[in-house]
Amino acid sequence: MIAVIGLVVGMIAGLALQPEVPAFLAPYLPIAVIAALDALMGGLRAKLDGMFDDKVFLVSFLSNTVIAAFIVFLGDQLGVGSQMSTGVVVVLGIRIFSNSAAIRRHLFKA
Amino acid sequence: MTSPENDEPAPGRKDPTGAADPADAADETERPEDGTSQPAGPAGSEAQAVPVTDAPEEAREPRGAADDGPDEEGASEEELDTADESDVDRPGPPEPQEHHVSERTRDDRGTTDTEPDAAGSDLEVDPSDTDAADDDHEHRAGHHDPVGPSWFASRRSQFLAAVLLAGLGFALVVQVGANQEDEYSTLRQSELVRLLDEATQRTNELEERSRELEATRDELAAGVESDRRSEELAQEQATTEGILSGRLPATGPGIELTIIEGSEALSASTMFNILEELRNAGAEAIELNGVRVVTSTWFTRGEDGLVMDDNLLESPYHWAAIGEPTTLEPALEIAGGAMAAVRNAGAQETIRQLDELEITTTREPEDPEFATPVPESGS
Repeated sequence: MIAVIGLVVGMIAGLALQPEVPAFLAPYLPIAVIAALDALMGGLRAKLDGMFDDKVFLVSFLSNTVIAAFIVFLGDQLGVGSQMSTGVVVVLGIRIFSNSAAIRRHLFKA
Repeated sequence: MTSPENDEPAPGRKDPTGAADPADAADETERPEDGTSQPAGPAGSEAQAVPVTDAPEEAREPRGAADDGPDEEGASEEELDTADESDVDRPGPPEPQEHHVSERTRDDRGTTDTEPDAAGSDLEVDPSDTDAADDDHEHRAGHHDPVGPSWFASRRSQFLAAVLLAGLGFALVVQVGANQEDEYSTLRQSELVRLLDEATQRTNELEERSRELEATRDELAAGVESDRRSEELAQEQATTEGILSGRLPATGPGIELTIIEGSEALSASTMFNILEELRNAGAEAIELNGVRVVTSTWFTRGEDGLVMDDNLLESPYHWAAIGEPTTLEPALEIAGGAMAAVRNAGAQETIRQLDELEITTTREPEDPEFATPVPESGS
């Protein structure tokens, strides 16, 4: 519940402040957001599985975002940035789907 | 691909406590202070259950030393442990769990006396959980607000998640806003360069096309100009030729010549002489008795009088000629010329020079029957 409030507060803050995304961060922010969404879904699934651990959630959340952004950054340096970001998004999307399938089974038993 | 449940180090973290607890419980059974709890009943399950519910704190003390608990219980405890992990988040985990334990012990006492092992393992899980929960609470209380340590501590994971999700929500909204704001802001340098190249190329193409169209436009404008000029020229020529051929009415300076026939009739050749003199003097439009004189005009003397172009002429004869008056009159008055012949014939003649003379009669020229224009060379 507090987590949901935190999400809402963050979104409101983003809407209210409307900050400019720094240029050097612009290509990596969307990837980091996707990775964070993936970590969020994973945490939700672990919660429903009864295996939620805050430390794991914290670490996986931060490391996922950082690693996803870093992979894309590396791809940029190697000249395959757009392909790399596509690949990362695909992988994270698959994970989000599999996690959401597990969550669905928990919630709807189907 | 590592799914989050794989990331969870739940077994690693809880194993020590889980493994230690059966041993703790075993220690407790040996302690004499158990006498406070139910004295009667089956020995195995009850003896283990009582110390757990009454004194979870003491159970923790000898954990480090007594690590010789049965290994096979580790697995089952692991699952139960992780299953209870969510309970840790609740405000007061120890109390309900103790209730739970006591209920279970009663159940076990009544039903599962024959399986002391199973009951034991069930019971032994709980102290570890309560221990871990207590341990966590104390640990967290040190970091957080000392005013409400248990409240904050019990919600630590929720607060952590809240902070992370706040960051996520913030980034999400910012990214969406940036994306809607400017579609180029999230593009990479190489993509921007490519877009710039495309734009430049397109600009060049369009500029070239623009130049071509301008050239065409100039050409057409020039064509229109020359067309207009040639049309003006043609108009001018048509006017000039119309006046000369008698197709158009004309006005201008000229002379008016009136001849009143005397007793002797004027011959056709005399009249033709006058006409020739006028033409030689540069008359541009000539009229005689309301009939336009043209290049094909002829004179003859018929039975009724002078005939010009099938028109019968009667005295007085009124000539009107447009031209230079000071040239026309001397040309007529030249010695031995047309006027002399007229006076010789006993006729009276008057010449008037006019600054403004109008010849309104016209004659439509006949189309040439035989002659055709010679084609212009080179066209």
